Amino acid sequence: MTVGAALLVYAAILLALGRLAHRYDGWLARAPRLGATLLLAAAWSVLAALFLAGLTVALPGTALSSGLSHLLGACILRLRAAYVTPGGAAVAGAGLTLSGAIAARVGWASLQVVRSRLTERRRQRTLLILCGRRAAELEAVILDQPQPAAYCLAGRTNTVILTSGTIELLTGPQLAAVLAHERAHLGARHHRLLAGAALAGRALPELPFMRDLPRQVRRLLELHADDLAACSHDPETLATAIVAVATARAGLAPVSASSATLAAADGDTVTRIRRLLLPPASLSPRRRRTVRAAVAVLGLMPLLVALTPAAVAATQPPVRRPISAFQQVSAIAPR
Amino acid sequence: MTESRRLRPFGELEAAIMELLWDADASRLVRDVVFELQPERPLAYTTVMTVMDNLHRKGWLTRKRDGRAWRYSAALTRESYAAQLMNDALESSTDRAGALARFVEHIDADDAKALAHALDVALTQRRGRAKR
Repeated sequence: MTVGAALLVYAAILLALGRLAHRYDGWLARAPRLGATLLLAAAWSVLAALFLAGLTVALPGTALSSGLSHLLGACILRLRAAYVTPGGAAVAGAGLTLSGAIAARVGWASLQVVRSRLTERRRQRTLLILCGRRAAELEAVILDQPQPAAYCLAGRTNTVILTSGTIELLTGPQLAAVLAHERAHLGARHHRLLAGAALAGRALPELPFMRDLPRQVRRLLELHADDLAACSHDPETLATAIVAVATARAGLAPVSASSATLAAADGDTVTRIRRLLLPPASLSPRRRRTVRAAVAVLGLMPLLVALTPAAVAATQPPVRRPISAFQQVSAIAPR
Repeated sequence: MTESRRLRPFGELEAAIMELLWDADASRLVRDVVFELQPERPLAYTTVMTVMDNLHRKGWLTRKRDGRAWRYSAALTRESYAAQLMNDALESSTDRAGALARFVEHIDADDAKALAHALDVALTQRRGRAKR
């Protein structure tokens, strides 16, 4: 029970810290990829903590304890004592419900993510058939569309997609910078982090930290792709390309359902421009190490907390109880 | 087809029928479509009829009575369908699988002005820094 409570408190603290990180996220932008990793680690640590909290609460009353005792070679009675839960069956039931719900939601979210990936792939295939051509010289797919747009699609085949409108709008160096930005997304495998964020966001959308996670991670990874593109291209060129494409698209695109995300997105674009032209000092190596250590701690903490009592129980000798006459007989009797 | 509803890409047969009607640039009876799809796809009349009826229900085809049959034509040009499809791909915001990364977020005209202003300010500051 104490372990379960500790895990729940741990999750609550992480969620509160996560909200703070969303609010004061200037320092995350100084090491965007590491920042995104940190946020993701925190989110998945919360999910793991909630899942394990349910399991540890349910442990003493269920068959889980015998499984764990086999696994660790610990005495089952000591193990049960270590995880003892007041309230018995009702609390154990609640614990199992919590764990089951978390597992089911993550499973459901994975299905949705896979489904929307398939839809996206089908959509892009249709687009390619309708108005696309492969441009070998740009290593990209060009869609014959007047409106400017550029994006990339990760998957079995990584593709950078541009419209003919973009090519007309931008200068040669600007186009090269845009392509470098999109290739940076694909090269740094940003889609993996994005998928992890989408999963967590869909698994627990009731929690603000989780709900905002995909947007935050996406924003940070845009910054990371900008950084990578600015290594080989003039940041001013990239910044003017961003503004050119965004301005040309403004008013063209239908205003989507949620204007709240749009307002925020605008702020994000301004941040990108400012950051490209007036880059902040990047995070010092020592701080980077600290953040990496934090990521590792976040990854291990829930399991560590959950298994500490079991580990202690495993080191102690088994509990000896006086053997009843029945058990003596059954021990001697041939099987 | 309401504006707010997200487009689903066509299924294979749906796409084939739409392609045919777009290429033809004229209206067609179900019978014609079955005939024209014939060499590659030997399909039952009822199959094609059902699919075309679905496409009409979803708003992709318009139809007029022609005797006892319906005469179908594409409600939207290939170009505007493609444009819608692409905008859907770009619009669907963060709550997605994360496979697609846009170059820029959507902004409206006012935000575009603010953005252009931000660019000017940042460029001036940057050049000021470089001089010093």
